[in-house]
Amino acid sequence: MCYVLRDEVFVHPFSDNSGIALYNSRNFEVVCVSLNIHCFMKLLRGTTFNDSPLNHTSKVISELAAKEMIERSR
Amino acid sequence: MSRSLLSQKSIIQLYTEPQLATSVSLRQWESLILVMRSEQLLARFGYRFRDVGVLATLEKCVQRHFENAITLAEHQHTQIRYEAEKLSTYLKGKTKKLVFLKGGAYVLSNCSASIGRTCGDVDVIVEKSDITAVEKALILAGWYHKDINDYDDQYYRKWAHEIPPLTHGVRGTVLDLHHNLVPIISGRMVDTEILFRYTKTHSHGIETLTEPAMFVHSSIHLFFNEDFKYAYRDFFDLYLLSKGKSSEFWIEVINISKALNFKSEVERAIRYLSLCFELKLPSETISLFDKKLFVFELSFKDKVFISGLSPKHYLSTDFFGIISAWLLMLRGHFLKMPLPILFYHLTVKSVRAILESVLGKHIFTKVENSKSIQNNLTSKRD
Amino acid sequence: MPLSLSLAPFSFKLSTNIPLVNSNLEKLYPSYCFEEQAFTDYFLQVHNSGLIRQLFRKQARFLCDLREPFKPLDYSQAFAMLEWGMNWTVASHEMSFLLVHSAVLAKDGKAILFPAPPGSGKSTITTHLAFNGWQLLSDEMALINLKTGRCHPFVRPICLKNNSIKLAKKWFPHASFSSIAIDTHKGDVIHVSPPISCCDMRFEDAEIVGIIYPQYTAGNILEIEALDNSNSFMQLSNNAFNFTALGKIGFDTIVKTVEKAKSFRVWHNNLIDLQDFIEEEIL
Repeated sequence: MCYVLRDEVFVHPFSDNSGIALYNSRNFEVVCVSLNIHCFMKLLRGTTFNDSPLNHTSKVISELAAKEMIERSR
Repeated sequence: MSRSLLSQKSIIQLYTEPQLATSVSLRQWESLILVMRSEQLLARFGYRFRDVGVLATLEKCVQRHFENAITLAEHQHTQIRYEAEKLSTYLKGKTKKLVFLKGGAYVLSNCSASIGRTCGDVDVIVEKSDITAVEKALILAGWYHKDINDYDDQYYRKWAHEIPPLTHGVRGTVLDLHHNLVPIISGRMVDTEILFRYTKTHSHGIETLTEPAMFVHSSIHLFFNEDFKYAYRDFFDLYLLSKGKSSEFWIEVINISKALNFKSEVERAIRYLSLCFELKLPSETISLFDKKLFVFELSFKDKVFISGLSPKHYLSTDFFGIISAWLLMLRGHFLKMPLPILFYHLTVKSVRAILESVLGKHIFTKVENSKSIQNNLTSKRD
Repeated sequence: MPLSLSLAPFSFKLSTNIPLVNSNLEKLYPSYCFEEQAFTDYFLQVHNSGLIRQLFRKQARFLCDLREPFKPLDYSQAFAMLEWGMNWTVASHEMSFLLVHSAVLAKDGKAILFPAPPGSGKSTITTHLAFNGWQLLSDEMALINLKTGRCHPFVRPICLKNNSIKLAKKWFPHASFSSIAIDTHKGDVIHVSPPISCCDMRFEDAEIVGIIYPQYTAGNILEIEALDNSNSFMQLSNNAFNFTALGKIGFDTIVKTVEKAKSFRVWHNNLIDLQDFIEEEIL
């Protein structure tokens, strides 16, 4: 189940609640966040040029994590 | 299989009359795909066949090759857009002008020559006075010059219109940074102040030449050059840039060519487009050109050029093709360099080439070990 | 005279002037692979290098049509170079599948992926399972259909290195082995043909039910760690060749694969124990 955050970032929360995978179609960046051990694992693919994807992505993660938590608490 | 289907003319006809694709046999497709791929036209034809509904009617094994090429081209276009955005943002303030050229520019401007266009690298032009600052800024941002021997480095910096190519350390993108459209040693440099009057800005501040200026640059690149390796693809670019254009476009093309002092290159482009692609200019513009351009009879020079503008793959080319390539190479070198310098340059290059042809192409290369091949295969690749 | 090589789902034509390549091909590939095919996808060459090089330190060169992706290798590695060249050709051009650097074997239509860097003992596992009733889909490169998520076979010889060579020859003395490619940096490399039953099943795709990340270990224990989906996703995408070029559909395919399969990291020494674990717990 993949949903779109902004125009180019696709998000998939894993069904076993282990984490979230994100894909940025503008620069092919893939980030996977493991929620179980609370760490970022970053896969650098293609183009990330001098702008830390974590800055952009950590905001995204926070939004998502909050959203997911709300969903699961329903 | 017969060379006729692989000729310059036949392949062009497949583009202008794509319905003919349905009558190509599987064996013929084998060779056509090889030639198209080698000439960097596979994606372009894939889009063309898809757009007119022909692709789905071809055999699945043939379709797959076109679809593969389309996927790779789309990927490359996304990379180019991202790269251009980053460069434009990063170099703002470090250079007065940053204009994208050639294939990258076609993609960025989304013009008709962007269809299926693949590019080996990104080409940009800046003012000569900004070159050093831009080069330094790029190096700080992770771009580097690959190993280059002293001779080639000198060639670039002293004589050429570009500095040695820069490669991005992480992404692997290759950037060609120009300060003119032709080598300074040729004595025919363009006035960049005039050139930069013909630019257009797109989203994210990305700048390219206008379409008439792109046509002029493409003509210069094609006919003021010694390397015709991808001339067939570039010829297609010219066709797509000019197809169905209004008289305003052509008037602008003439003006720009005069302003930049490359009128004969543009005229040559128009002549061969009308001969090979049957390009029809709007009737009101024909009178603006010399009638000689539209003469049907081919001179020897015409035959050499048309051969140069043909596929280079061994399945398509013939003995005359080899001779023409050699003549055009000589001509191109001669145009770009004064004779004494040309002698020196060709001697150095020839000695290296002779050594390589007698002792093996990789005489200067160490024997590779299989571990690095495994690494080659398993490393992250796009 | 170019040789046809039908290796479903792709077809090749090969030109070579190196007898070592021909003899190994005949030994390792069933005869139907060489039948004339209606359409050839890729035209390959494995040739000698240069005039003077013929006389000392002979080299072999690989070309895919006019492209030469590798620097020349020592002559004894000519056949291995062809195998790697075919992998390169598929990885560089084929966007119709998600390609993963992984062994993949199946039983009763259920496939297990074994993504692994060199040295993990993957090829020994592959050989053992292939010769113990499992269907070999591929030793190096898993082909995952972008629409169905199923894995398609691309049956080719298994590549073994160093100690694995001795073990394989000891366990399966009747199998067809290629000549040894001598590589002083890594040791020796050899290819072994899988059982003919694997070739017979070359058109049968399989559903991916398990992903195992193997690690060979000294000591006679089998240690298993179940991996959650996000962990497996990261490992699998690191092993995917054309993931980036495929874009969103590549991302979706990897996500779907890890969601549907059970993932484990396994430290192994005993292949029979490993086989038992897979057959009992995953299939």
